[in-house]
Amino acid sequence: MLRLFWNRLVWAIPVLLVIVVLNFVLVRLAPGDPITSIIGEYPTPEGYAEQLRAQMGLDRPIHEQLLIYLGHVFQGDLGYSFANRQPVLSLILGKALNTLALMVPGLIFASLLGILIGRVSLSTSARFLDSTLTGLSLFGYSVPIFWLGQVLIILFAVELQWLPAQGMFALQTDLPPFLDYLAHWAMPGFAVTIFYAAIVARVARASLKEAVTGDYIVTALAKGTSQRRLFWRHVLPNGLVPIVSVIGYNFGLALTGAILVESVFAWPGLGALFMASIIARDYPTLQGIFLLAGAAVVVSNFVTDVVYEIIDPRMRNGSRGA
Amino acid sequence: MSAADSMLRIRDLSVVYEIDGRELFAVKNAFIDLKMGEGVGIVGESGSGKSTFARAMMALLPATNARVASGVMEIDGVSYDMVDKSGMARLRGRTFAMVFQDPLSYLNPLMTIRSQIVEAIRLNDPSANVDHRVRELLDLVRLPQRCLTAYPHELSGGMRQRVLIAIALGCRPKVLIADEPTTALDVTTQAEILALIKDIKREIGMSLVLISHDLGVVSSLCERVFVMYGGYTIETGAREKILSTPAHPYTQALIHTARAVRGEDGRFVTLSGDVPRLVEAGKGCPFAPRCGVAMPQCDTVLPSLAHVNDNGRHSARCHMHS
Amino acid sequence: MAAVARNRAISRLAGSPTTWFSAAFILALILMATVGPYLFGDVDPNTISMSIMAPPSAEFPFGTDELGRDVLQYIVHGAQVSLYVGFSAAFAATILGGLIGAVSGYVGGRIDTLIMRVTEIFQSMPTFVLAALIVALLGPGNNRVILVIALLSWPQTARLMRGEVLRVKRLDFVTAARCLGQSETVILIKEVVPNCLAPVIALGTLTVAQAILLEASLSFFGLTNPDTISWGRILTSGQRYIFQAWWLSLFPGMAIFLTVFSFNVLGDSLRQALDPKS
Repeated sequence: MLRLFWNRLVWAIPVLLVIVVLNFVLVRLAPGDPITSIIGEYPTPEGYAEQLRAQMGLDRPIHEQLLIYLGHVFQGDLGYSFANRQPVLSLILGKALNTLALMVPGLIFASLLGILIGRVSLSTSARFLDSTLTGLSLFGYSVPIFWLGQVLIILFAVELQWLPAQGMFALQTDLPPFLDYLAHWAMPGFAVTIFYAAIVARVARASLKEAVTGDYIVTALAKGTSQRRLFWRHVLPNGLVPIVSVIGYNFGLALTGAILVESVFAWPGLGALFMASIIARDYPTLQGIFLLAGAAVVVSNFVTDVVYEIIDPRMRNGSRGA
Repeated sequence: MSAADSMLRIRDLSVVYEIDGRELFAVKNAFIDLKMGEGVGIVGESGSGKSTFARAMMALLPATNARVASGVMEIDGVSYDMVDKSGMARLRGRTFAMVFQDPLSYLNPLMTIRSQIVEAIRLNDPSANVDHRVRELLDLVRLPQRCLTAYPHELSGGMRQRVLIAIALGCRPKVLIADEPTTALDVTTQAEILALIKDIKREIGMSLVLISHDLGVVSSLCERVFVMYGGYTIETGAREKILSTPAHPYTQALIHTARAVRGEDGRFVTLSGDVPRLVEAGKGCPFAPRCGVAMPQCDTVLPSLAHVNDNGRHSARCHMHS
Repeated sequence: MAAVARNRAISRLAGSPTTWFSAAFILALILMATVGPYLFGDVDPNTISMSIMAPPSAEFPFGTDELGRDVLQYIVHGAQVSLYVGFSAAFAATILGGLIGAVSGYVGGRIDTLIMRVTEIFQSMPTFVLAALIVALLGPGNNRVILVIALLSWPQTARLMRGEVLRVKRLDFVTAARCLGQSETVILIKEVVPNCLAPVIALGTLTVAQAILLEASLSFFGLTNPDTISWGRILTSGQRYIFQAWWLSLFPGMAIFLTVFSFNVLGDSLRQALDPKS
């Protein structure tokens, strides 16, 4: 168990390292002086540029600069955002919570919906429903999510005026906060759910269809298992590993998966901050978001691996398949 | 064929496969009967329809392209229409339980041995004393207690087959159906499992339907034999009669090849030609193309089942006897 | 045998009306992007008219934008960029991924393990963030966008190719070629790779869809060259004027959706038709 833990840690380190190094390299690849890139066009205190230059060790050889940068990242010092007048770390962590408020319910609904679509595809009596749902998931898989958001706004905010078009909470409202959040969540949440449900459904259909052909299903039937029990106890667990893998992967990317939706709906999360930072060329913030996104991937990979082992005893003894 | 003391009678069973729009028979007018505590064997080469026969009893035919075209079953005085799939499916477990060929693939890889056995017990008797029954079953199949917490991939082939048998017996079925229970095992383990099934049959008076291509296996476990060829039951009788005075040319050839791999002239004896995979209705004797003593009528007229001797208990479907 | 298999593949492909629609749509799109300007007269889509943000009418079927430009003309010309970027990026990703996967699977051993680790790391990257970051830092330009998309899309192809090579290299005809004394490189290129291509091509079609979507997303955020006409860029105006001009969002987005949808359907159908297992 401990060995496995180490294996995973060893796997996680290079991913994080690559992201940190990429962060380092990208800023230096940008045309012009890194300091100008980092500070941008924002008013800074007198002598800040020189202070930063010394702090980053820009007068030292490149490998030392990298080590200095690594040291800063390791201490949780991700720099200061002049565009937002805040340290990057606290800035992005605050925004990340809003993003999770958008994405987590969406991903959970999408996972359930995706599995449900997979369940329907197993039924021999629901061919029509299955092909309809398959068509719908192909739609969700192909639709540009920012366009889906725009169409939703045009339909439900502009034409019907049922739902608020922008933001997470209204400035002034009679609604209790939770309902207010729900009203604002409805459209972006729907777009997120459709998009991810399509991805999960694609995988769920294939893996459940494979699981249901297993010989152990015949044994279960021979015992006298009911159809409902058969699905929950035998088919779903055996088809679950690829489904968990795709869900885990998308949870890992959730922080940045929201970028497109957030900017369409002006949801005050990490994605919107990312876009604003791109327009403002706020490099410390962009680097911080990229780092956080990478860390999220690593953490979700870890959790996914643990879930694999809970599901499948055969994975408990070996290491992850390379 | 008056068998008033039969607990199970199946008559006129036909199973149709639909392939490329054509309906082909895998089983045609086949039958068996079985007394309480008796073992009967269904013997034939692969493609003879013997496994399809067993699957039809369990209502486990592939849902997409196979169906029971006709068949009447009588068990303990109650009769069932075998065409009614859901009616037959309700008999799984408490009436029929099945042991399969490949013990690894037929066990759910994600469940412990205990929970797979417990499932069989609970589904068929919700009020059972589970712990007591599990211990009883383990003793019956000669497995140590420590196997209960194991997963299928942690056991040997022979142990897995014992688990499959324990699962089947856990249902407390009236009839145990064993489909090639030893074929996938190595020779020593085969002998162990055969001895085990024999003991169980004696100890608890289990009624057994054994499906096998191996006359040796069948004759060691069964009192009576049904030989199948091309979907038809072509000969039936007591084990001794079938072995000593086989009536059908196919059975004769089968026994000849099984008993003496080398013929009188020292050469290997094999049956020439292929088993007809699926038969179209209304042709002559299915064995005619490979039969050494075929007559002109054999190609055109299907022989009817006729008594050979043994007070009407030995019958064959061959023109030589009609 | 091969001919029979191919005929079956074609007849299976022909089965679905959705597949036909998708193929026809892609064909029409390619024609529109290549010979369209010659057939219908090469109108400069940047032509500014007096009708500013006019709703769809007989003169402007898809309406006009905030500068009075014809949205239909914009969509027609935008197809060029979308297809160019989509095809080039998918082509580059397929070549790159195919090459890496083939070498990894064929050579095996430690090199294989190492390459697969690197592939895994690439797959763990938040694709869109990295693409946006790179384009934002290095500046826009179609070729740069293509390069970034290709660099982020190859791992999937590499994994597939590796799996196929692992399967094919164990087959008898490869051993036969080795017995004839052919060099390993020749065997890989002449015997193994051609037998792995079918699923890779199917995946390549899906990669075109992903690349078009990624390009549209980048240009939606204004990260691509502002001088090139692209579908995603009109949606930026659509976002700005969402309360006034629904046509600025609806039509260009529909064009992106139908294109991506068609490539996805075609890729799926190809995969199913070429899969010897199904």
